[in-house]
Amino acid sequence: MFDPLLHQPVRSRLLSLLISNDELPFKALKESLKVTDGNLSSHLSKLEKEEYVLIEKTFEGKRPKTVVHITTKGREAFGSYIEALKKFIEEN
Amino acid sequence: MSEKDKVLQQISDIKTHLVDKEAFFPYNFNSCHVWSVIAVILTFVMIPAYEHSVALGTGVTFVMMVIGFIVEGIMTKKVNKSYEIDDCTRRQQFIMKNFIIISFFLIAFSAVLAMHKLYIPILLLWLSLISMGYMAIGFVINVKDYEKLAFFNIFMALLLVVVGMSFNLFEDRELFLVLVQSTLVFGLAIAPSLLAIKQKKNIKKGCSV
Repeated sequence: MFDPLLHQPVRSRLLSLLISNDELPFKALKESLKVTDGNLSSHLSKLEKEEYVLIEKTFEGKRPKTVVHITTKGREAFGSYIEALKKFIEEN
Repeated sequence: MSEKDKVLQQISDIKTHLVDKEAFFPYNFNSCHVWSVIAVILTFVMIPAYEHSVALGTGVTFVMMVIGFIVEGIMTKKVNKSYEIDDCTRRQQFIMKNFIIISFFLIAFSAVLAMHKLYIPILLLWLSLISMGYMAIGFVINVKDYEKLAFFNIFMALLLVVVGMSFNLFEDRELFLVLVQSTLVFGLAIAPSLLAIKQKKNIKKGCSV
């Protein structure tokens, strides 16, 4: 009934943050979601595998910079997930 | 928890996280310590400097405030780098502009008060107006403690003005000056620093979950 990838608290919050901002640095996501680096990386890999997000790793001088973008597919999936949640509430 | 409760919780979570990017970048609380040091210095240096001459008082105050803004700017840049952002956020700009405007107004108005030898009211004016700046910060970054501190400081400033005027203490000033300076040290140095430490602890706690 619900998209199993999004029906998980951390991943749904993560997509909510990206929906409002298009792209966010890894650190900002980590602090907002209150998760560890490893935990966030694991959730991001799952979302990236389904092409819901795009992870961009670059270097700024010698410092690595990781920015997470939401894809069109991710936006659509999130929209459908919200609709499914609303439908569930209306029917129950 | 029923499935419906879980879904409602999920919706609530999503709503909470549909926020603007600006909400991520916390205020650089270390700069509060810098301002605390400047507040202590100005509390004790301002009056002797103004007594020497209005120009010296104005100069000293201006230099101290400029030092504060430069240090705060450097610290903000450092914090922003760790968040991988190059520019100031709108919130940081708002806080900075807010304090720059208040400071220039205070410097100008203090010169006017100093010309009339109203030295203690200068301190009380700084206490109340800088506290208004803290109130703005508290509102913008949603830290209620800063708003409470600002209310307390403004209340104390008004109370001291009333007491000072009622008992003519602005002229016969030794003990009253000590009381005013103590209030400033607490309200603009000790309390903001303690709140900054508390906020930094709260942020660290949040990250370690």
